[in-house]
Amino acid sequence: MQIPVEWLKEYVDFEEPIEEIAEKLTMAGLEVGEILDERFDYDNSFVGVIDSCEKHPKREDFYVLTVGGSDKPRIVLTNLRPFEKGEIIPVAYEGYVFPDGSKLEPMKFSGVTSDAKIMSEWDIEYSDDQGVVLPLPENAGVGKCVPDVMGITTKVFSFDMTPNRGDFLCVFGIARELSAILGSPLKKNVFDVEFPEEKLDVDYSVEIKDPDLCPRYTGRLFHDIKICESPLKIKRRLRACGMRPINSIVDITNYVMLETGQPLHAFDLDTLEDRAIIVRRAAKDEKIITIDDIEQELTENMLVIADKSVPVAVAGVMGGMLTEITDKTTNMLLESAQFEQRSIRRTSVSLGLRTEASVRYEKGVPVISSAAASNYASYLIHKHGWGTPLSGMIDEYPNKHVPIVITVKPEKIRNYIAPEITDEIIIESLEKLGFLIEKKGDEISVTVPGHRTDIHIWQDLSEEVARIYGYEKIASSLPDVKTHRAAMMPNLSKNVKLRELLVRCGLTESVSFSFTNTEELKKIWAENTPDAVEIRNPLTEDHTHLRPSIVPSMLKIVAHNNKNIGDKPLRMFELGRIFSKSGSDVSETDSLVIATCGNSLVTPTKSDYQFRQVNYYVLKGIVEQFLEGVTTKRVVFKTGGSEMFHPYRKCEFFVDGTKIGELGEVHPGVSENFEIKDTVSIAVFDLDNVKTLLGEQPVYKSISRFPAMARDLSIIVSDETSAQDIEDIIYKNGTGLLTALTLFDVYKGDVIGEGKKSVSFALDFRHESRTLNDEDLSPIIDNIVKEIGEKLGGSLREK
Amino acid sequence: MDRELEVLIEEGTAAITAAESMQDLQQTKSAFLSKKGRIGEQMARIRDLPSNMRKAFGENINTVKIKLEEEFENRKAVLHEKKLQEKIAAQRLDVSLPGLRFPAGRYHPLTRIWNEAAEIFIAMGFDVVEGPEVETEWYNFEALNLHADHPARDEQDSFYISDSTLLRTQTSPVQIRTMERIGKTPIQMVAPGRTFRRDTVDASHSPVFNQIEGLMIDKNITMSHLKAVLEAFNKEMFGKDVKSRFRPDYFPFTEPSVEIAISCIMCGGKGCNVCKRSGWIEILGAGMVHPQVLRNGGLDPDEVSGFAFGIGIDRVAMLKYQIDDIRLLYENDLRFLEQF
Repeated sequence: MQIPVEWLKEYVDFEEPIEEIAEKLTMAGLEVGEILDERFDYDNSFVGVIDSCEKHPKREDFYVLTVGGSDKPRIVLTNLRPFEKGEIIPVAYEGYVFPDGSKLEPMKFSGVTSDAKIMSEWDIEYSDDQGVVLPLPENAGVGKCVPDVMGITTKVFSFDMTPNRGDFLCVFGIARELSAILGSPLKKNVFDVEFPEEKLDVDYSVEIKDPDLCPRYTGRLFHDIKICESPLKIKRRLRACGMRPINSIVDITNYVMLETGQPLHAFDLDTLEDRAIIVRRAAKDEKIITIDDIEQELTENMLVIADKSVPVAVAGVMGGMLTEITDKTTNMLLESAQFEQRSIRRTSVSLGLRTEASVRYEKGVPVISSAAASNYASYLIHKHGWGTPLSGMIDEYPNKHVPIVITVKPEKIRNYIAPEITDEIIIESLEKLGFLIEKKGDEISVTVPGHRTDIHIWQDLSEEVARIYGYEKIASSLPDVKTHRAAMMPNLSKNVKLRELLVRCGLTESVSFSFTNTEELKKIWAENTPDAVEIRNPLTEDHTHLRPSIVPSMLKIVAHNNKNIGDKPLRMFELGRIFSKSGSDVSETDSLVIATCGNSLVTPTKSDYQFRQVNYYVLKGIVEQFLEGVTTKRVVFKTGGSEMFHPYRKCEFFVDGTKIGELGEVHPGVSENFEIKDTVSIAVFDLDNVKTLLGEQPVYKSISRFPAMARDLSIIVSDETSAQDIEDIIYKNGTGLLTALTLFDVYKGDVIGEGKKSVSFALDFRHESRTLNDEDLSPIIDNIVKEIGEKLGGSLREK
Repeated sequence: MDRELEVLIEEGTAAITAAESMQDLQQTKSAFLSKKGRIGEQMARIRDLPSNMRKAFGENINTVKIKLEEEFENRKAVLHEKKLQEKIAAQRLDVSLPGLRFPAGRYHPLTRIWNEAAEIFIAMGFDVVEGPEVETEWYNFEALNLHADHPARDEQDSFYISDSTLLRTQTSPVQIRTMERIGKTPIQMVAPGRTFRRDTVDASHSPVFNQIEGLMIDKNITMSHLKAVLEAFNKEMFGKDVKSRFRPDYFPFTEPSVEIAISCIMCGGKGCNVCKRSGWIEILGAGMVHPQVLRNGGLDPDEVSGFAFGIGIDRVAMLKYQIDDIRLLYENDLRFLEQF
């Protein structure tokens, strides 16, 4: 909403600089987003000084002036009179835009080319006079822009409105607020007008069929309608408010709407069948061509203004083409009505039509202003001689406005805002805003003015009091917090803990959108694409579903970075929500994915060997380290995992037999689908199970004072046997005494034989209450070797 | 002391001092101090002496022994020190070579703000809770006074999942859920989380973004409390010199409603590009919880009152870290992430 400052000044006097006024309005809740200049195309004019004046070589009554003061000497042709060297004149030059939109172009006149002209009052919209030289004020600085020197441009406030204050969508409404803020009375009431009426000489009718959607409808007739251009003052104000001048009648309806907030609509009376206005819901399959020449399909929920047989306007949104005012219009019906907010908004949204009228109706136009605004328009039409108002305006008003009265103890407002808000402050603030106060014992009874459609309860009043008192002035005081140990919900605090552990493992956190699409999912799970939750109205084609997994996001992140960072190691994690269908509902859970890519080697330990320097082991190491932070329990890794992994480089991991997650190198085909050159490994966790482990308390086991006994075991097994299977057997047999088990070597080679490998473990045994000896360990080692032989076909490697 | 013993001291001392390595020194030690060494030989002489001289002789030998042991220990210390110095001298490094390192992980900037905000609010007595991202229209809109035809819905174009469920456009539904869950006062919570709006991506808009919802309800909670709590938050988050500005705004679920700006942290309020030359940056929306919202949450507005607020996590991160494009937060470019 844009309002020229000069229009506001018609209502409220102020001396303060307009920046200060803007700040005051903003701090009271009426935000001035920007202060604009009225017009931006006043360029190419200047206060010129005449360098020379010569007679036109061919045309005796013309003079050729050379004028200085601009970027270069300008040539002006004039037949007004001879000018003196040194005279000061207003000049428009090539490119200047005239009020009618035409541009000044250089022109040749009997052999002399001029590129500038002396400005008339009309040229800067100072008056309608095109013949008189614009009189410059004394001491007008040579070279300055002419409209600036004349002081005729006005600043324009551009407001950012909140949707609750329909009453702010007009000059009068803002003036009323400004008057309350400044404590300076309104200079006039827009509705205080008088005009003569002629006697009604034709029949017409207004009928409201749906009073729930139309609480009031006024219709007034006019004869002798004159369609012409509006005067400059009206045109300039319309333009300053961002509207385009059209013709006298259309302009006056817009002008009155801008000034009073009441949308008006003018019908050509002679196009209305039976001169009847019927306010009703549209019939099924009814259509109307609106004034923008578009055929609108109406539904039974939409309110229309109809004549005897067809809709002539979409109520409160836009008029129809067939009944609009034209150059030929001589008789007019002027509508000033009130429509139900929600209905207007629904109609406007479903037709995709936002108009100045609909925007006002959906935010609330006060029902009291219908007749008053019609009067004001009649006054203006009569004043300009554009029509004759007839008496007997029809005012259908089935739902009479009953003022809202709120009874409240001022103490309540004080206890809601701040202790320093006294009864006096409360009453004074409300009175400034036009509320009527009546004291009744320890209560006040507050009558809400009709234009405040947003005030219903005492809390609304408290905002008014706080606004006028000033939010900034309210003293801050911390609430008394009762002894209360604030905490995070366990699920959140676990997420915090997990992120900490992950970052400690050298992983960098990513945060990506919650969206995916079926194409993307197919790239990973060709056969068993998860059933993702669909978004009904996606914004883009690649964001059609909610992600059922973080893996697609993560692979895209890897692909993006793979291009940028070359073979620098990438190690990342994302912990976020995923979504899946659960019957007709959507279930959402947290999920965790870790990814590694590139030559991401951990500093090698002394027992590292060549074939372990593959991506798989790097990720597995990170996962092991991470899980060590989660639980002190043993994590068991077993061959297996979903199809997105490399078939021979994947595993699932368990704690106490419960699956915790799976990890592996991403299937080379999948990597290709994401255009990732390097090997990527991914770990996906069953986060609920991880969180369960995180919640378990570790229990201290006493540290034995007795020395440990160490044994090394090298086992020869077939190449396919997993080390985990050997470890399981060692753990099982070592119960009670085995305190540590470390795999320290894997050897393949001729000594062992084709298809076999030797896996070496270091075992530590310890007894809680005595020193161990060989007799204690021998049976354990024997059992281990025996079971490995039986179950895995393995044997002890002889030294 | 007899001459032979004096010679023994001289020779022994000379030999010990001459030893240049621990090994030499050990050999010298056994040559003199062991049973079969020179001292041992002298001890053997004791039997040949008349008994009245034995005691004095014995004492003299002992003196020699102590003297030589002393010399030995001294020399040992000298040689040890020498060896240590040699070792140290051989360990000279180019101390400027890069260290061996284990890569450091990093939190996403949004998580950093999340953690920081949670810490600040916990210290002020607020619990940290969460709510679903797929919400019903009731919790996301209706219960917050945002009925279907409310003009304020313009700013909250939503992604729908079904007729009545959508991706939450704000964290405010957690207000209602928390009131229902706790069912009594006091309530003091913040709910950080992800929110969604059908906004086309550009430098300042993202269809996915994050908010922190806040709610405090008790008997006699006032706007004055709202101001104090949010001023405290702004100071903790942005620095103790930061000023807060409170002015009226409109949200359907609060009455009165407040918009809160902080003095521009770039220019200190003088005016710059970041604050669009106003000196202030809008950072928070807040207000006193609307009585209907309290009722929708099962509380009695005649008995209790409270305030609520919403903070944009992305916006805070962008301000604090001077990030000029919101897209960077969701692109996950390591060259970006590694700066935090």
